[in-house]
Amino acid sequence: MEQLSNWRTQIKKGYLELCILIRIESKGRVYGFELIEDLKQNQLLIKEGTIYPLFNRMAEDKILVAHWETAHLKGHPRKFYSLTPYGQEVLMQMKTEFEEMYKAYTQLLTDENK
Amino acid sequence: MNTPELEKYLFRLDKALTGIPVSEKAEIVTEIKSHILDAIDREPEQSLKDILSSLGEPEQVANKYLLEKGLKSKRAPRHPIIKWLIIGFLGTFAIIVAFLVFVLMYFSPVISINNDTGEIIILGGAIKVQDESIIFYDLDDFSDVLPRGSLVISGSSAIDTQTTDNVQLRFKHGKIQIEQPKNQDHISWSCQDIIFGNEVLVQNMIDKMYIDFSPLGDINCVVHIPAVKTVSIRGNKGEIILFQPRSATSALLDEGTIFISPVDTQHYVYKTHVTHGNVDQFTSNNTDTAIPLEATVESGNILYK
Repeated sequence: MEQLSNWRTQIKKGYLELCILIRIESKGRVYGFELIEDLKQNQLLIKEGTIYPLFNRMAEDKILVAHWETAHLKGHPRKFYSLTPYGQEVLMQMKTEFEEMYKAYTQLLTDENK
Repeated sequence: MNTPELEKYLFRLDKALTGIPVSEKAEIVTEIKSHILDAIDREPEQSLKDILSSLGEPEQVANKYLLEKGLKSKRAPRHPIIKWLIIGFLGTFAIIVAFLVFVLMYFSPVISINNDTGEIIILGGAIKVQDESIIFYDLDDFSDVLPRGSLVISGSSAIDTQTTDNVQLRFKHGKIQIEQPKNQDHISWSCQDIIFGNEVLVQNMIDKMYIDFSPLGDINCVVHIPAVKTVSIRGNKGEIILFQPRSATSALLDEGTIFISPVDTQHYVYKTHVTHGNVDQFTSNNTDTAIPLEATVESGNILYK
């Protein structure tokens, strides 16, 4: 069903952003590769080519704050991300709105059966 | 472990990140490299080729960064820039309009038509249309800037002293010296430093002779007149020099100086008036042979020379 790919892209985009923020909040701080693995375990597949630009934009939007860490974990520098206080507010808002959307969706389903 | 393949990939990535500041670009490339190195470590069964293809073409990855930034920059306020551009343009426009209004007011009347000479005078004399040519003059304010020519305009006009009683001279700006040499039987003039070669206007009306130097703009003339009954000179701005007058003379000047050099042996009756300025002491001798001299200056002086 190739026609779905556009829809999938769109819906995944918003949903994944929410999931990413939820995982970052839960883990405190993450780096890219680690988060990709984590999301994979939660059946959330995201392409690497997508996640890094997303991190970049979220950091610019002050939702995430980044800092480089070298020294440990196999030698090469890694960029770690965590939620800013503003980011936490945004996440809270996103969760609320998503839940409302989901409620409306379930409501829609029950109406459908009428 | 920096293979050429990896270096090439990262180089392409860096190149594709156009418009992004150098420091940010460096971070992006470092982060991607770090990911690749992690992938190589954690998934040894995957080849570098697989990892890179999973990432996608460097240009595609760069594109995604630019796209995410594009969304952000669209939100960036363009309004202030446009607002200030508009203010800038309006300000400049207002200055131009104010300047034009000032120029028009200074050079008023804007258009006037001289029916006698068939001229259209624009901007109070700054531009004149004569026949089919356009002449710029009345530029006495700029006369120190414009180069002075060495043109000399001279002319003469026959005059019947029996029938012509009155000679009237008219000019606008400049210096005119009236002389009345003995045995002068015609009117002649010589004007120096004429910028544009225009014609002096001469009108012979049997009982009076009218000579208008106005077309010459800013003048510096000497005029020789025979001893007719009356001579009158009218000017706007400049100098009138009555050099040893032998006719009853009346000189009128709006702005400037009238100089009078009387003949030593001749009596004159002086009538002088200056609204704003100075008048020298002229002694009148009210005898039968006294020649009346009248000089009026609105703003300026009447002086002995």
